[in-house]
Amino acid sequence: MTGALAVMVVSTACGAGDGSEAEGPLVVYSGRSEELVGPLIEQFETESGIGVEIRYGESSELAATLLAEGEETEADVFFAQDPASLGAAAGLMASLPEETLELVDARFRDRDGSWIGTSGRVRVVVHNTDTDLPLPQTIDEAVDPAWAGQMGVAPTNGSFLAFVSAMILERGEDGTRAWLEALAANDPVEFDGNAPIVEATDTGELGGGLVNHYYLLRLRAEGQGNNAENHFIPAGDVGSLVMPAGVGIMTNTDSPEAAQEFVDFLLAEEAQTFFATETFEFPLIDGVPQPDGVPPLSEIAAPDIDLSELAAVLDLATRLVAEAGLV
Amino acid sequence: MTAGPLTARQPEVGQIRRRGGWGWWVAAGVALLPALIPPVSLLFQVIGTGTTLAVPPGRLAELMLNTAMLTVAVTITAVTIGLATAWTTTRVALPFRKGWMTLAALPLVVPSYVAALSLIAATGPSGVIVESPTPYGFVGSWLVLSVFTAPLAHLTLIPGLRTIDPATEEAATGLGASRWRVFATVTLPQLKPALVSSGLLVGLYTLSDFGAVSLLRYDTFTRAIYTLYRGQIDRRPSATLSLILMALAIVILLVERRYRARVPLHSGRPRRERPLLSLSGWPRAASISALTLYIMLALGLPLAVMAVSVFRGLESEQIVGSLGAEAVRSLGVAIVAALVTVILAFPVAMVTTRRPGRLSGWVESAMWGAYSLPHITVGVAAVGFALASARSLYQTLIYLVIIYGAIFLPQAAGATQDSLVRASPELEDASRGLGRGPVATLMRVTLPLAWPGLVAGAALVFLSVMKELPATLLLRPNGFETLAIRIWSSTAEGFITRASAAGLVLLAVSIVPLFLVMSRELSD
Repeated sequence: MTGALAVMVVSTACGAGDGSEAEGPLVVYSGRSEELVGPLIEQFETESGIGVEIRYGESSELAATLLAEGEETEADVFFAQDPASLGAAAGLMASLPEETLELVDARFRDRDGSWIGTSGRVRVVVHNTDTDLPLPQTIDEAVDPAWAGQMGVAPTNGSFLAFVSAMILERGEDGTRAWLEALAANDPVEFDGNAPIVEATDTGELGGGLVNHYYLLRLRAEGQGNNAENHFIPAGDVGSLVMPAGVGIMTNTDSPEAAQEFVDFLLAEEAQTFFATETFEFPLIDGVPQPDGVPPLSEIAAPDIDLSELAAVLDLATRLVAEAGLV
Repeated sequence: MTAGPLTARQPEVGQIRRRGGWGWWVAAGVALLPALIPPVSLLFQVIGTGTTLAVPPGRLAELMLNTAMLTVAVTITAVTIGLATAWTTTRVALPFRKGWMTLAALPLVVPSYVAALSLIAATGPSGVIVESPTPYGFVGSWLVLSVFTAPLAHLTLIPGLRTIDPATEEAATGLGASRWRVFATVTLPQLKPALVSSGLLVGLYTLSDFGAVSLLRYDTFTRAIYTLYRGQIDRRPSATLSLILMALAIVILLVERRYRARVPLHSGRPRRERPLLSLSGWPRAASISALTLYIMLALGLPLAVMAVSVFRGLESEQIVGSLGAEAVRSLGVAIVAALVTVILAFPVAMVTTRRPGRLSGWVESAMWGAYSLPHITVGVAAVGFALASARSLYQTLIYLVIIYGAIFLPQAAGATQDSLVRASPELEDASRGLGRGPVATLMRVTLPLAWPGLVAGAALVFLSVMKELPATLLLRPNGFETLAIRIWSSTAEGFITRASAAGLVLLAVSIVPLFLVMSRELSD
């Protein structure tokens, strides 16, 4: 018993203690979870021969961690789930080369070239297929009294907060506050995350909810989700916000070539196809087939929002959501 | 009042207790340092960057009221359940008694969000057990937290129950008291220290819980704190709220100190073995049914919900992938953390039980420094401290284990204190008087007396660390994924099959070391 214990202790200590030396593996801080991108990272390691040491966490927490670590951070690459987190850490990131930036539409990358989108995630109104409730044609119709008690939201979720941040950019602080108060007054059903909203919509517990497009597709892959459908708001407002996941290279990286290779890998056909077929997100480079079960990205009425500005209003968005009584 | 077995003993005026000397104070001071890192670092952080209140005062009052209500309600029910399971599995002759004792402790390893998921799956329109509306809000949170934190009381009370001198109870029975009266007037008062420890463990844990209240949509302080940490890059609002929560915890601790009745009940007589209570007829059936019902709710239900998810997913050809590495990491770090915490707790317990006084009162309150804070606050504060003052420790396993020790110190110390309090200091005096040196006395007399408490404490910390999530996420070395992290990230992404499989592995992997330890050390 003591022997086994000693072995376990030593192996856990050894297994995780290395990697803090300067040269060596590529250190990636990933706000994208292991379930989503683990196989992709392994593919990169095999093909490039570069060892990757990856730190998984929430994008916003990792951004805050990077800011706390400052210039001495060991991280080489920040691979985040949403543009607000990328924007928050943009001061610590280097500009990407032109040929990399040109691969992706200017809407889905940083204005100054600090980060670039790797896949598209779109806000939708998921709804139960048997519901009679009027599907919102604008984001203001989502807080219509007809939806009282039937609309699921996840007010603490990063994507919702990014959506509120975009709304602040679109219609200002007062307009956003008014919308949030209308939502709060409409008896919304609050959840901790997006996946339970889609499940509840599928079982009929809810009429619908404000989520990201891919949760329903993943639920269908698990054998459920046959009673729900994604509705893309057609008005071109923040209701159909496209939030790319993205990547940036830290200025003080000690492995710049390896970091660049990683970014190139994520923007190459193999990885982009992975996003379309395995995680059900929209590829952002040309020439890659769109995911099944959703319209192509070009047909979605995405709003014209400068994503580089999201980070600056994120804290305000969280405050407005709290003040509206949603958290 | 004539002196007797049930009279409290105070140090006599003029008699200097030379038990242990100031070595124990130094050791206790060192042991307390980790527990003080998070609150002190938080204070510094707030002083340095200033405070902001992102939540309007009316809402703040509402959050406080909700939190207080939940804490009080859960404490009462969880301690009652824990007392019932502890008493039944230590005193009553049941088939597979040791098995029941272990099983009743195991629900502690179920993360509270998994527990909440089980409740949601069991009820609601497609409920597995009953098709009633899911009890969101206060009722659901109270149910889930009571059932799943009862093991905190169960494990803390077991050593206490074992070490009550049977002579005291037999004397009462001999004088004609009924079984219930013996329990109420003889057993319960002697359990007071353990009951108070249990109450604090459950209550202060409830203050810091996030998983259950977020899924069950009950607005507590901690829920708001997590939201602000997750949603904002600016950490001041969350730090400010955390400070307020810490103040609330301090108030609870001060109240407890005011009304604390340190009743060291040394009977001075050697303990005899206690025969197990043999029940028959309906009391026996009732005991077994009640235990079974508890285990079904607290273990059977989460297991069933997770198993159904896994089967459903496998049928749809979801791949689960290997969980072996995560299991080894979780086990390894939990066992090491349990040992380290128990070693830290021992001098603290020695100081508070053998040197009662105002200073040891402060020691006892200080050990709760990190326990009641939400773990995300502890994690952030610990990261801040490491980046500022101990860069080489940042993102290392050693530091992670130290912070686990900081958080869970009260679990180990509470159980150990109870064992020590019950054991007469005269035994140690006698050993010294017979010529044994301090080390020999420690090894041959004190440690065996404290042993049941140390084991129970180790079990508590082990289970708590196995499921710990927020601090682990922030402090772990890159790539150190545990089972708890696996469950959380799979759930967040909607990969339910993988999450459930990881949950099943968590339960399976925890039960073996727990059973080995409890059946050998905590049963007569």
